[in-house]
Order: sequence, then structure tokens, then C-alpha cells
Amino acid sequence: MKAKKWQDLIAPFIIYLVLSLLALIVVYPFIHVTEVSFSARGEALRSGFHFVPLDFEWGAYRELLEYPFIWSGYANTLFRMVVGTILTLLVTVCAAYPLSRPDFPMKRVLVLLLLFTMIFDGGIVPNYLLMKELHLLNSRWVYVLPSAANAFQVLVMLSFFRSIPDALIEAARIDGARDLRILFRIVLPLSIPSLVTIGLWSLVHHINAFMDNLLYVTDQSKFVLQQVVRQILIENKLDPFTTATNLTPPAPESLKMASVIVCSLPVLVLYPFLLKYFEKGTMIGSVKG
Amino acid sequence: MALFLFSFVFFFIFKYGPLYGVIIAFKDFRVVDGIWGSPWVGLQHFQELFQNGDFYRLLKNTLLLNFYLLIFAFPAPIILALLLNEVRSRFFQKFVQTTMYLPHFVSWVIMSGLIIYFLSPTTGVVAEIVGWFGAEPVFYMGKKEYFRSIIVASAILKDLGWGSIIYFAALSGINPEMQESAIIDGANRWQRILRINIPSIMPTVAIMFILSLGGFLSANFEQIINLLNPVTYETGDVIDTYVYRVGLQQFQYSYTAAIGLFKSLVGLLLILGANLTVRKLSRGENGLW
Repeated sequence: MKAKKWQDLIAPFIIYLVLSLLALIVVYPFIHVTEVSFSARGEALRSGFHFVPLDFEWGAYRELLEYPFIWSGYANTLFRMVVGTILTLLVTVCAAYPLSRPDFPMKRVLVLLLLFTMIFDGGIVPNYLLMKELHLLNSRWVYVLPSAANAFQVLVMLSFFRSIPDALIEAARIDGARDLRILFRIVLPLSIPSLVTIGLWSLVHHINAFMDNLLYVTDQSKFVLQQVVRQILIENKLDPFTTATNLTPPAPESLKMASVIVCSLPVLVLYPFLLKYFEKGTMIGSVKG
Repeated sequence: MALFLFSFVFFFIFKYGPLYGVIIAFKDFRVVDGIWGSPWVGLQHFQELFQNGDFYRLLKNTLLLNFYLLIFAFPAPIILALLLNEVRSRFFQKFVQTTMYLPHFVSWVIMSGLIIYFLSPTTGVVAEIVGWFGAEPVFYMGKKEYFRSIIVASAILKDLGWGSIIYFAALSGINPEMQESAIIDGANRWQRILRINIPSIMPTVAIMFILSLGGFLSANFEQIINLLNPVTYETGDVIDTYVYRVGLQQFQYSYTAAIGLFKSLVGLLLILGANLTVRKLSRGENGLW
């Protein structure tokens, strides 16, 4: 009996310890990054753990906010967030709604064609050549047009539309409503939770995406925020900041960490909304199509 | 109908359009002649490919890395969900979940920048921790033998919490009476996890497994491209990073399109095979289609 008691105590202890440690690994970097971004040179360059800024200094942010490409990056990212999300929702609904109607021709084939795009892609080079042919290279539209066609989101939307009772739609049809009217007056108002979920998926994709920028855009004024920060953080392009007339330039570490904060701000602001809708969203996604 | 046409155009251009460009893998692509006008060369690029030593290094790196991700990163969220399910305190559960979701929403640019920073031998925190145990700091990002471990570990950290949502939901769906009767029968915690919890979530695991193979071989491109540097090419250079570097930056379009096509075909076979296997094993109950 005594041995069993001991086991009952030790197992929860280990579970709590492991989980706390994991949470700590995620939380600590954010504290560290914030501290270094607000620290003067000596403190920022010190090795080891960082918790509270002892030598407060916001020079890194001043330098960063004077850098024009941070602002154009923010503008471009905002553009792709707004236009990209609206376009994604439009394309998703326009594909899913007809496919959810029982009288739509060739449904099975079309769904299979959608599925195929999820498991096979042409590859980097054919995609690049396509963008070139379409004159989308070095254009902001390359951020929003290709990503609007997302088969997974169409399937999620489709399974939601199918769950709307047919009787509701039939009743409207008998009352003389046309397809478009049914879509806007009945189907979409009922689908707001899944529209929000897909909209947020798209929003997060557009905040964090940089690959299309890296592959298709070389004009720096059209760079998205992620790519601007990528140059500072990963490619170590710090020369725009070292030429400043500032006598005591901020440490490169402070600059980098400030760029991390500036870049993650949109996601951190959205985080509470994301938490609320995403947990439900993954459940919708798990429904077998 | 008009609605569908609108979406159809998007899918046709951006998902099926690149498939047309794939034919340059069988041609000698010259920019002035365009995709159609360039001369056919048959399988010449594929022959070159199989004779090139680079190809086997890329194939080995791609397969090994994805294999490690499959055996380490795939089960990690399942284990986290099982652990979370054992926690009695709702508050602690919620706290761990909310923190662990965060990295999922942070871009790979930020994640990679922080990984490089925290692993730095001079200012990095990891060097500090290693120092407590009397080990010398190492330049982890510049050592080819560490590269795969860093990729796998950071991939786990990023999607651990997020991936656990779906398993956690499946675990909450288990009938509590089953647990109670097991307790009455004298089953301990470990036996209950092994005999009730794990079998109950197996259908979800099977579906997630097939879905994870969908992006097999092309997954983690965003991550690898940010963490890779010339020193680690030997172990870290995968098909996608090579295609990007040699294809788009050195303009060897046809040759790299051939590698890309090879990768896409292998990926397609893998997912079809996995779906078939899962269906056979579960006697037609699981599987995506």
C-alpha cells in the first residue's frame, strides 16, 4: 500500500515538472528578447540570462523606426493581410458553395481535382516560371493571388456548408430566392464561425509569409516586414544602422532583438483572438471530407 | 455557376498552371525561347541527375531529415496531449496550452533568428547552461553534425502545443465511465494510458499521420532555408534549398525542375502508399479516401 502512495505522488510531480519546464522554454525567450532590445550596449552584449533591463535604453528602437524599409515592410504586410484575406475568403466561398449544392455537375471529379493540388505540386522552378509568365515578379500581387487558391480551406468550408440543413435552402428557393441571394442571406450568415476561422488562418499566413517574397520579389521597397527583418536578423545586414551619425550606436544584439519585437507585434496583438477561434478551427479541419 | 468559374480560374492558374512548367524538366529551357519554344531533350536531365554526386547527398539529407521529423516530431504532440490529460488543475492545463500555442504563430524568420542567437557561443544562453556542467561553448550553427538535431528540436518546439490540440480534444472525448471502471478493476495510471487513452486516439493519429505525409519532403523549407549556412550544406542541404540556390540563383532551370519533379513524384507515391497502408491496417475504417 505504501509503495502505491509513493507512485501516486511521484507521477503527477514529474508531469507538472516537465510541463512547467516546457512552458518556461517558450516564455523565457520573450523576456530575454525584450530585455536585450531595451538595454544599453554593455548589458545587451553580456552573456547569460537576461530578465529586467538594468540599463534602460531605447536607441535600438529609434534606429529601427528611422529605417524606411521597416515602414514600407509594414505597409506591404498590411496590404497582403487585408487584400489577401478578403481574396482568400472570396475564392474559398465561391468554390465551396457550388460544390456543396446537390445539383452541381461533376462534383466528385472537381473535389478530386482539389485534393490532387494538396498532394502534388509542380515545384519551385515551374512556379517561378509561371509567375514570370504572368508578370507577377516584383509585384505586390504575387503575395495575394497564388495563396488565395487553397484546397484545404475549400474542403473545410465545404464540409461546413454541407452541414447546413437542405430544408432551409429549399424553403428559400420555393420562396423564389436565387442562388446568390441564398448564399448571402442564408448560407453566409450561418457560416460566420468558419469564415472567421479561415479568415484568421489566412491572416496568420500573410503576417508570417516570406517565402514568396524571397522567391519572386527583389525590389526592396516591395519587401514584406518578415523579409526586412530577415535581412537584419539572419543575413546580418546591419550596415544601414552603422552609418548613422549617432556617437553611441546601439549594440547589434539590441537592434536584432528590437526587430524581433517589431516584427512579432501584429501576431501578439492578434493572439487572444487567435486562441479563441483557432482551437475550434482545428476541430472543423479534422472533420473527414 | 459564375461564382465557381471565378474560383476555378484561380485554382487552374495557380495550382495547375505550374504543371505546364514541369515540362521544362524534359527540355533545355532557354529564357528567350520560352517554355514551349525550348528544344526537347528527353530524359537527359534525369540522367545527369543520377550521375551527379550532389543528388545523392540531397536525397539522403531530405529523406533522413524527414525521417527524423517523423519519428521525433510527429509523436511529440501526442505525448504532450497525454501528459496534459493527466493534469487535474484546469488552470495549469490552460496555462501550459496557451503558452505552448504561441510558437506556432511566430514566423520561422523570428524563430530561426532566435535559435541562432540563443545558440551563439558568445552571448547565447545555451552556452551558459552548458557551462554549468563544465562543457566548453560550441558554435552549434556552424557544426554540420548538429544541424539535423537543431532542425528537429526547433520543429518540435514550434508545433508541439499546436499539434496537441487535436489529440487533446480526442482524449477529452473518451467516456469517463471507461476510466472509472478501469480504476475499480485496479488499473494504475500507466495501464489506463496504455490500454484506454492511446487506443482511443488511434484513428486521429492515423489521419494526422497521412496528412503529415502530404507535405513530406517539402515541409520545413522555410525553417531550413533560414538556419542553413554553407558550413552545414553537407548535412542540411535538402532538395528544396538546392533547387532554390542552383535553380533560381544560378539559372539552371531545367536541371533543377527535374530534381523538383522527382521530389514531387516521390512525395505523391509516399502519401498514396501511406493511405493504402493505413486503410489495410484498420480494415478500411481509417484513411483519407
